[in-house]
Amino acid sequence: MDITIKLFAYFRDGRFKEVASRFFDEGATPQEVITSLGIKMDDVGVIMVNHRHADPAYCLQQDDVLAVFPKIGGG
Amino acid sequence: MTQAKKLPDFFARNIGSITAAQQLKLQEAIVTVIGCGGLGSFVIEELARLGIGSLRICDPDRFSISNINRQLYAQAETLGQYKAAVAAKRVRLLHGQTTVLPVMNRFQEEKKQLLANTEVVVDCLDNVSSRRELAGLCNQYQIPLVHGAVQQWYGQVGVQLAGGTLIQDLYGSHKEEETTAPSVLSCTVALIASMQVAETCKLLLGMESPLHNSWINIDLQRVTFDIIDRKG
Repeated sequence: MDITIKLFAYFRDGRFKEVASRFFDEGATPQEVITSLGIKMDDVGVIMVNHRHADPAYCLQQDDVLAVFPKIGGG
Repeated sequence: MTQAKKLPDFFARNIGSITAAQQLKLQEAIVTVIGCGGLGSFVIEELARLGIGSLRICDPDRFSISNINRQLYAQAETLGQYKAAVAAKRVRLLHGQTTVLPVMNRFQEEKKQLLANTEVVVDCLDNVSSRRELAGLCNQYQIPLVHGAVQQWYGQVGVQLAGGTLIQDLYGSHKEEETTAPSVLSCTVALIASMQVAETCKLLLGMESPLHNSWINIDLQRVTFDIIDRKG
């Protein structure tokens, strides 16, 4: 299935801002997509699928848009 | 004439952006700033110049040399001094129209004097666990919280209205505290702090904002400003 991936802030460094379509097996989860990009789950703050907050174990569907935000905590 | 008497010339150039009546409202407002470091110092400076009547500012830390790259009140002569005390001194030097209460202690120990009757709390903290504690307290006291956070070239600003879950949503999966202090640039800090002040001003004046119970993610390297469209 094809998933659109949007990365934010320092997750873009050395990767991309947005990938319009990347293929994953049926039943893939946000966690699997995120780790496949070399991103540590401990660094992830927010996961959204189609503009809704989603669990790392959510079952992604064809054409879903996955947005991944890092934790930004500095002041 | 009465109104002209009450409006000090210091704030004459605010009028036009806001009305005289709104300026007076700001002069009667109480705002609490938690954290007087990078974000906090710029927030305090701008809130005072905006003409906020009363500031309560809190930070238990003292200035160290590594603060100088991004903290407005960190300079050679303030090293070793309490951040909140230095910030209060600065505010008092500006125009005498803002009363300021510095608290050199953890906000968790001074909840009542910092939060009772305050209209807006500004989150200028530097760690996730404290942010979550502060957000919980704001909901307990039914106060809106203006959140800001920075790292490297990146930052975020959002507004948790009373009873909202923004901070939980942003850091919900957080498990352990980061052990190394992140790199932060002064340009990122100043921008995010300015946006926090704009949101604070709008809350005090009852103005709407797309950041209410949502947030904006800013990338200064690629120059992107993404307001997060949340559907639930």
